[in-house]
Amino acid sequence: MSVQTGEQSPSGPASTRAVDRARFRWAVLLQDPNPIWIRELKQAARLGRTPVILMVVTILMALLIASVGGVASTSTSPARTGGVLFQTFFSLAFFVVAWVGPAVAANSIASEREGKTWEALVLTGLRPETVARGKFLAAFTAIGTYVVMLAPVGAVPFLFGGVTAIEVVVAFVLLFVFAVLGVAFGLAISSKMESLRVAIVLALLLGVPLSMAIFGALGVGLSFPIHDLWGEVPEGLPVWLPTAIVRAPFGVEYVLYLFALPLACIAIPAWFLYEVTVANLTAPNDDRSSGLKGWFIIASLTFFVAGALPGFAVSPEDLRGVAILAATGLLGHFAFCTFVFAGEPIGPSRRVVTHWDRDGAGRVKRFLGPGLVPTTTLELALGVATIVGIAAFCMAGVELNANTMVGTYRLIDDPAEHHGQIATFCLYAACFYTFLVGLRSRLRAGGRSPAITRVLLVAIAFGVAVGPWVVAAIAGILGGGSNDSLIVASPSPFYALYVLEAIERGDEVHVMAGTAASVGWGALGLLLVVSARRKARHVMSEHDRLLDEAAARFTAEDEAIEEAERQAAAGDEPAADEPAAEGPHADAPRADAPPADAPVAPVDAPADEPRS
Amino acid sequence: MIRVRHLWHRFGPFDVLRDVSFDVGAGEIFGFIGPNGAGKTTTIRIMATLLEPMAGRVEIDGIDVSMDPDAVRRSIGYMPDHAGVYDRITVREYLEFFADAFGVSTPKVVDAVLELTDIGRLSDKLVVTMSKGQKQRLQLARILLHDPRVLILDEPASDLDPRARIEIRDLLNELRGLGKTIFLSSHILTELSDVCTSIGILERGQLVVAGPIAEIGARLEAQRAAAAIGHAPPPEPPPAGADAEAHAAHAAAQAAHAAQRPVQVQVPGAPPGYVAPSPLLARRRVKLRVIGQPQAAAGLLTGGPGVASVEVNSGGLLVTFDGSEGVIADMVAHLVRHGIGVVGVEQERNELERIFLEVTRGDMQ
Repeated sequence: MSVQTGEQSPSGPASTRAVDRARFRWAVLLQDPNPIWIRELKQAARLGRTPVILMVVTILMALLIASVGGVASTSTSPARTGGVLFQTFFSLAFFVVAWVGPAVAANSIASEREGKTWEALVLTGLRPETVARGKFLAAFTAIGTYVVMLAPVGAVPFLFGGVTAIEVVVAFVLLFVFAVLGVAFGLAISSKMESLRVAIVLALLLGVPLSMAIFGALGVGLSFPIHDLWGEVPEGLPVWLPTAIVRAPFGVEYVLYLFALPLACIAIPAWFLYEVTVANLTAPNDDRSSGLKGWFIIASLTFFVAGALPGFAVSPEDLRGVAILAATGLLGHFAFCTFVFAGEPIGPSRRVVTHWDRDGAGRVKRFLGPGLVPTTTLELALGVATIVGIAAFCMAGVELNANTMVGTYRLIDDPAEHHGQIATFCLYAACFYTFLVGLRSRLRAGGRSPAITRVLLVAIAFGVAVGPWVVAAIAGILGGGSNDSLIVASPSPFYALYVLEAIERGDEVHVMAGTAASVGWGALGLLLVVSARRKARHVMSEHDRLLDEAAARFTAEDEAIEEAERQAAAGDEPAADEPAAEGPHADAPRADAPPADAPVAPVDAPADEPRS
Repeated sequence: MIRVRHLWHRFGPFDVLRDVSFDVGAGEIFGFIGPNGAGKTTTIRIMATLLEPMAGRVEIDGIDVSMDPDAVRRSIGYMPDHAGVYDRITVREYLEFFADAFGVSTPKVVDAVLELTDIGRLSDKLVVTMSKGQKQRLQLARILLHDPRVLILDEPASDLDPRARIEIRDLLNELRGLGKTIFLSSHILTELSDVCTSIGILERGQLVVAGPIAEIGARLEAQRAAAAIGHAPPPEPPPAGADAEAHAAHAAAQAAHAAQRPVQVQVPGAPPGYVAPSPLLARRRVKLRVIGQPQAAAGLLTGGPGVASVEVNSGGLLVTFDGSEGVIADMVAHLVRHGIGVVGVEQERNELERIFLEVTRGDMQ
């Protein structure tokens, strides 16, 4: 039962059916809530300044909306004024959620560490997932209070007309949904920080520009294509999603663009941030990988689907553009994941292996667990397969429509050129990604820390991307501005874009150079992968050998002590050269011996830092 | 109950723990002593599963802390030095939260620990308004919620006033009576001497000595006595966690003792070259309260066997001497024979302080 609430814990679930499991989860939420959440609610209820802050924010917002409404109503119709107020209020509310949410969440875990309450919490045995959820719920409740307090002000635009009540309600719901992302973002930062102030400042430093970028790109920017798609949705206005959800005609595109896509845009980053939080709260010798790998698989497949879906909507002649955009997006996603997985240990710790053996973990669970080799395999398999899959899908679409005629014209005037461009670009993306994965894995297998690996990875990737163009520019100047000098830029991944143009021009030299560069990156990447695998396996076997030796020596020592105790119990004094009986306390032997020489060996050290 | 074997840990280039081995039996109160920076807190944090050891093995109740920290956490209650508390929460709410976090199934446990730690009357008080001593009691209450078998306390009485220290000491004895094994660290020797059944002294990351206080004191006393009459020190008990190799090294060190003059104590577990201050050089002081004629008494003692110096102060004589307790007995007998009444003999330091001074060099890491 919950001691804090006095409620009995629910029993169940009644069966393995999804409905019963869902009922059970709901009952747990109500009757046996997260202990951290309940405690933080009690603490928040006693914070005297909260009502004052909420009241001040609400009054300020009310005054602002009243001012804007007053100015707007003098020159425009009430309906238009309502629209202006709607946009103003929810734009401001968006920034309140986007800035206050991360700041409140950043306060959560870092404050425990700074207040020296974290260790007591860890030692209770609460799982990192439970801690993360409790902290999330507490921060989400806090930001939810702000949104609820602002609700009366948000209802004002509805009174003027021009905006329906449902649009206002949907907009509030979307605010809550966006708050999930903001809180998850702040929590992920907080989980890594020791200092409360640093956590809050960092959350705001990253959150403010990020929220502005989202507001500009996904708000104002996306309103134009949405207006093209559905004329009922006004263009150039940032808060278009509630209007589109209410006014757009229902259909496949509606579900896809107004439901599935926004949901994915919130759920995938929020899930990633949750897994990062849990990983940060998990001890280095525990399994910090499985959650992130699960996210990686689902996110990669989602991006693949999201990249392929527009192929069904666009004209066949635009499939080339879809392939290039999708491959670029996938390459960006996978390159980011390569950076994320730079923290992967070389192999599973002895603790993780012991737990796997104890729980009878299967191959899939072990494959998705910690370890550089399985991670590299997974990354390469998914990355190359999805990029090649996009290429294959778009090339098939081009091929199917190769002979389609529109009047007297072919729909695709030169299918071979389209094939060539898609294949060349996707080949370059897949090969360069292989190189990135190989480089990262080799750096990690070499024993470099995650931070050093990430710095080197970014530096090398940047150098490879930009360096050849600098050289090409110098060569161009020296060569009198000839395009031929651009061949030296072929190692840069941006050269793939130039190859697209070269294919259109029929410039085979540059096409060959681009293809050769991509094959070179691919081959180098595979070599690095093979080298990393060998190195990782060597490190792990050496690590295991040391652990086995240590275990054997500890066992021998224990047996010697037991034998001596038996002799002592039998009344025999141990000889001077025999292991002595051990009393309840005694002194440390041979303190001068280094760990490798003494009967001491590494404990279950994180595999990325083999200790000897 | 607690088993530490060949424990090593390093922070950057510094070895903060070097081959530390000791055992703590069930039901004991083990005092872990050492100067600031000796490695006490590092050892404790490893035992409490908050830090991974770089080498060696630590077992609590038979469970390896590196292999199954979750199981160890169920067996231990750890009270850190200067633990924080939550703002805007009462004592009862604080304990109820931790009861939930520990998975305690009944609210009665909270009432029980409130009563045990004698803070029931404070149950509605906000935690932040409590005194340091009350907060320490609250921390003890917290770590008792899940009824652990082992309590690990890091400097439990630091910054406490004398009354609070006495209360904590009494509480520890009560907990020992409940069958708890208690491991506590401190660098305040007086607070440990009354409560601990055994001790371990750590200096510069190495365990210098460990065992029951009386046993260690007797061992040092015997060494001192033997040294005073020119004999080699008697054999020491075998070292803990000793394997055959280590024991051989230990025996060799003892053989070296016998061959050396003046006698020096090779401290078990110490690196070659590390030698504890010789008992011959370990001067001790005793206060003798005499009836009248303190000057005459001082004259009688000055220049006597083992007596280094005699000072007359307001309360009597302060005698500095080398050697064993026998020297004190001889001094008292000598004074009585000459008609001077001795009404009090007070050694300047208690047993634990003396042991500490004899086996450590006062080096800082």
